[in-house]
Amino acid sequence: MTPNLRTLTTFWQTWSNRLGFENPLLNKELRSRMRGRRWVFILTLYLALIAMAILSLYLAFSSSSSFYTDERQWMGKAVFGLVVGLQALLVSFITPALTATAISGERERQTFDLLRTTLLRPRSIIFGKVSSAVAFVLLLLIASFPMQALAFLLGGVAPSEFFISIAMLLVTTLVYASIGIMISTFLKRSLTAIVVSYALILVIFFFVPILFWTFTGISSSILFSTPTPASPTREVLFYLAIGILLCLNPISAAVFSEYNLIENQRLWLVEIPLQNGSSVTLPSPWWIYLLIFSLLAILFLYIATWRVRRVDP
Amino acid sequence: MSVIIEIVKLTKRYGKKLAVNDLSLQVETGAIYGFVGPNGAGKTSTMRILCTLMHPTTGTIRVGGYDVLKNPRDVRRLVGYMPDFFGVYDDMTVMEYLDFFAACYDLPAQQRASINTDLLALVDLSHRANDMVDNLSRGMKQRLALARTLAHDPQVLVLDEPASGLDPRARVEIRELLVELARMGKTIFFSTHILADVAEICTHVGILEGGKLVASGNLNEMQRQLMPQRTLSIKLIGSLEQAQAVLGNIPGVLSVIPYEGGTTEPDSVHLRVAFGGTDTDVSDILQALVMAKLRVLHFTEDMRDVESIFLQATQGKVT
Repeated sequence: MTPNLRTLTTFWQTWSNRLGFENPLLNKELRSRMRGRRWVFILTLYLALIAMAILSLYLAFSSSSSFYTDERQWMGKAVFGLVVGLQALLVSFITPALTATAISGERERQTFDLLRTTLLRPRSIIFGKVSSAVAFVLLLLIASFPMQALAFLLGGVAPSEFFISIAMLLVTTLVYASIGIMISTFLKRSLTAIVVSYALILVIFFFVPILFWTFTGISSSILFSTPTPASPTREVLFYLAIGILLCLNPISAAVFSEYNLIENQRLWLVEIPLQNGSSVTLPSPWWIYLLIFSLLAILFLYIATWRVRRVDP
Repeated sequence: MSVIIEIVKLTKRYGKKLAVNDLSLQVETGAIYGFVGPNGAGKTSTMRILCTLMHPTTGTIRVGGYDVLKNPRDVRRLVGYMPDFFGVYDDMTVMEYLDFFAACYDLPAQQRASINTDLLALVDLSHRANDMVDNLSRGMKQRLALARTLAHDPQVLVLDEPASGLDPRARVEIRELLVELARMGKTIFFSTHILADVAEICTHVGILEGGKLVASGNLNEMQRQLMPQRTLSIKLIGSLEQAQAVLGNIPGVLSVIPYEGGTTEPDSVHLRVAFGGTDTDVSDILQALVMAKLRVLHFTEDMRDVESIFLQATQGKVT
């Protein structure tokens, strides 16, 4: 080998190791998962569901009298939105179940102690478990891309919308997976771990929207019902608070970003007119969502690693 | 001989319960150390601390000079641990199972293939390499578990009840494997409550009760220490009174008890003789019996000695 090639090889080996491509746990999990028939069944079912939904949508649209470009665009958007919705549903249902059993399952099979006496590092255990789950969800997402691509055929959907949807789905998957594994390191039984993980996800992703609606209702009535106009500072603070709350739920973040994209043609920023005629510019919710939840995922994974590293007292 | 495992004033407390109480012991390199004690004596706790799975309350363990608290990774490199249960991954073949654990010990893929083949041959599972782990018999699983602990070529094997729940043949196979591994230079530290294992393969024994070491050392030494008297089992044709008279005159004989139970043929007498003396004295007893024209059918030293040592040493505090 030439010195250059050798450097390259060492570089690759170090990084593939660091990134966990040579993680034995990841290797094992992927192999075992693809060996089971269960997952082939789930994949087929999921694709069939999407196909049927698109077909019924298509039939509904095409049976209407005219089929002009304008309507086709709406149909493109509808197909796109439908597939993203189904993908999100799938992610929410499958991901926590995949990782919530990861550590508690090892405990139940009595293999956790075996793993802990090996030289496998706690972060590798967590990385292997989470990445195998994410990889599987990624497979399901990619498998549905061809059907999602029908939307581009019909028109009305920009590539940026597609990439934003993928990024948001991936970060959501990662957060679900890290919540699942974190809960899994705390609980002894898999079943309780699954239930608690779903409960925590419900709190984070659905308790927050309820909070959001309550907050908007109360503060808008205070802010806008008074005859005198509210001070601009208070108004900006109000929009900022609502903005943050919008970013805490994937659905509200996605819907609002999409609305902003269609109505104002703005991808990264949102411009909100104030009562005194000026306006305030805020970041678009989708990337704040990505930022907040990536950090949250890192926090959860950190807690999980700490739990695995812990030696029995 | 150098010391490889050094347990120093180890104490482990679960709430109010004291599992291990100020335990100190040393295991020499190359020894087969049998860790004997009733259930709940603290064997598993000690082993889990040794394998860096659990922190002691006080004290520590050193393996090959490395402290389990300060250098756990170095200890893991030296130790192969087999718990008293078999961790099964379903959906995995025997070869994949072995390869997975070898990979967990950072062995590069190129090395693993040949090591795994060798290990399967060692535990006599080569013919089952591509079978699912789940489908193996209990004895085979135990042998596979042993192969797994050997993947990273550890110097010390820590085996928790390696022979429990196995049929006699499987037990003998495991026992032979342990002897073979000791011959290869491994130090074996194992717990058991099957005393036959201890008697046959151990070079050293430690008897644990209530978290305390009640006896420890070389098996023969311990026998002499704890059992100053030996028991002879004698079967002969002739009258009981005559036999008792002959035996009663021999110095060192402490008691002669006719053995009850079992099938006794007419005219045959079965005796148990408690006796304190050397091997020469034992042969003198036989000679005396023959000289008295008693027809000896059976003359042997009682084989239940290890059990007696065990019972003598442990006072049944745990139960």
